[in-house]
Amino acid sequence: MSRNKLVDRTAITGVGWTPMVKKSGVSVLTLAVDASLDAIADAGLVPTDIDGLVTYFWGIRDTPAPAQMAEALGLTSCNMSFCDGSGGAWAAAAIAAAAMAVQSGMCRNVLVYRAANARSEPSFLPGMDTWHSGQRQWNEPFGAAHPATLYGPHVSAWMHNHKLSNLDLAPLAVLQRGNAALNRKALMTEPMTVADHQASPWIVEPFRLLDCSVWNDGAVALVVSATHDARHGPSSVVSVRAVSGGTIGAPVRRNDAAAHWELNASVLAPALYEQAGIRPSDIDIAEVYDPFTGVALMHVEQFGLVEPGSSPARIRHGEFALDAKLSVNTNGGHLSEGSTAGLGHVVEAVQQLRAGGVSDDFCTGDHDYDRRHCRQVRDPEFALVVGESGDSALILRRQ
Amino acid sequence: MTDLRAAARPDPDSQPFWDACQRRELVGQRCGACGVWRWPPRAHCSVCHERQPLWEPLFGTGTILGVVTVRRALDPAFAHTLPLPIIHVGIDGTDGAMVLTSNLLPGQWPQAEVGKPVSVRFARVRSDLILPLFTIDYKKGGVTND
Repeated sequence: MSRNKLVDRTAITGVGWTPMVKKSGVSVLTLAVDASLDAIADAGLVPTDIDGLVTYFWGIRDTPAPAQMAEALGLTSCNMSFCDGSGGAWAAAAIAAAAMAVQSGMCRNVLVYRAANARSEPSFLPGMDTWHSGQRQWNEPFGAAHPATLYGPHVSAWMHNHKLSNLDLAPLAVLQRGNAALNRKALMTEPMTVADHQASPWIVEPFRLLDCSVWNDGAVALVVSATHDARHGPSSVVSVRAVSGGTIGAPVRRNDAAAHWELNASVLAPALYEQAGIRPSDIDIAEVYDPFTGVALMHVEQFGLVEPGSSPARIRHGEFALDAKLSVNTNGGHLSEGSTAGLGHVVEAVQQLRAGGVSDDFCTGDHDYDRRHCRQVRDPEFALVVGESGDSALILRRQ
Repeated sequence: MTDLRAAARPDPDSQPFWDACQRRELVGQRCGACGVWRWPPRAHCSVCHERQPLWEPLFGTGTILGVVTVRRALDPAFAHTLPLPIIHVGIDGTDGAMVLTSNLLPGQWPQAEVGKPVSVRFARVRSDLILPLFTIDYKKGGVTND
């Protein structure tokens, strides 16, 4: 097998974000530019250094188009742009697109961004067909339109196979809320207990309200450049060790009767680890796509980080926390920080890996790992980021 | 509000399935060349790539592979059937290839569980639309039409 030419050749050199809020009160373009200017400055660049743009959406384009961003940022060249419609499945694929453009020499610095006023200006209108062509007829006539009705049957198959109940989903929701409380940009920071989770109303069984990701306004952005360029930048280098993206039919590997809970992750994960030259046990941090609690746990298991069915019990025994051997969704994820179609997971992984660590917890000086104000993980080297269903994923490395 | 059931709109790949439902028959699709079952229906076989779709009658029985129960309806068409169980049904006789998203009959939601056998019950949900719904089937019987 030929060695993937991307390994460690590109790096994420800058990250930026806006707070995740219920009503931003500004245009989506303003959100995107705010986050992007921060990311560009963080990379030690000026906007005219950007010569490639990547963004993505699901169903209907709610993020600014590359042409709008090129104009708003005053770019003088744009050698490549992508505006993909695959949603959270593209979270890591967006980095792959940027890394390929840089590695090929087509671009020098690619800005990857995603912005939406998803809460205050919902873009989905009643009756809108946002399905893959021809697929609507097999779902909506039976009332299956909400994302929970599309993921849920696969999660219930996983739960049934491992004899899990809704109570087993609570520990992850509680863990992520605790992490979000240490995150200045997070939307949901009120303390949560297992009892709170169990008292929250059913939305679509097996999910209660506190099993669901939040709807919010907000933007995140990051800059991808060549690793040798990044060494001259202001931040320590976080390289793209391995990345793979695509789809073989979200959300599940095969929509047939065998292993109805098996996500595309089961195909992608082994190839990703091989590309990276590491094992699952080498991963220090996993930022996994979490539209619902159960889906996040399936991601953790199907990326080989723990034995199938064991994740709920592990969290109850203290695993996956900031001080555990493996830390999961350290920013609070979509369940509590806010939804960013998975790009916020990449931003968090970069923050955790770079020298100096996360910049938006509540530490006033150096990180002291006191979990009353510090969310920095101790000395991580490898972070895994998983997009929706494992359709795309990447491994980042601190250089 | 939207009427989700209006989405039961056939296309050239699916027309024979919906036509059969209006006759209260459940049909599936396999390759006319190599015989491999497939779902959803489409012109080409994904294994041998021949363009010979073949529709076959089915017994209408299957097994629940996954289930969710909707507690709050987004669509008034479902308001009187809450809680609404949405099930993935692995259809017998299709080598596991055909999985339908459907509903259990109203009132059966407490019994909605992965692994339970079901059989099809065609239900006229609108004057011009018959949908294939399912009922829990402890006897594992054949097609029941009403």
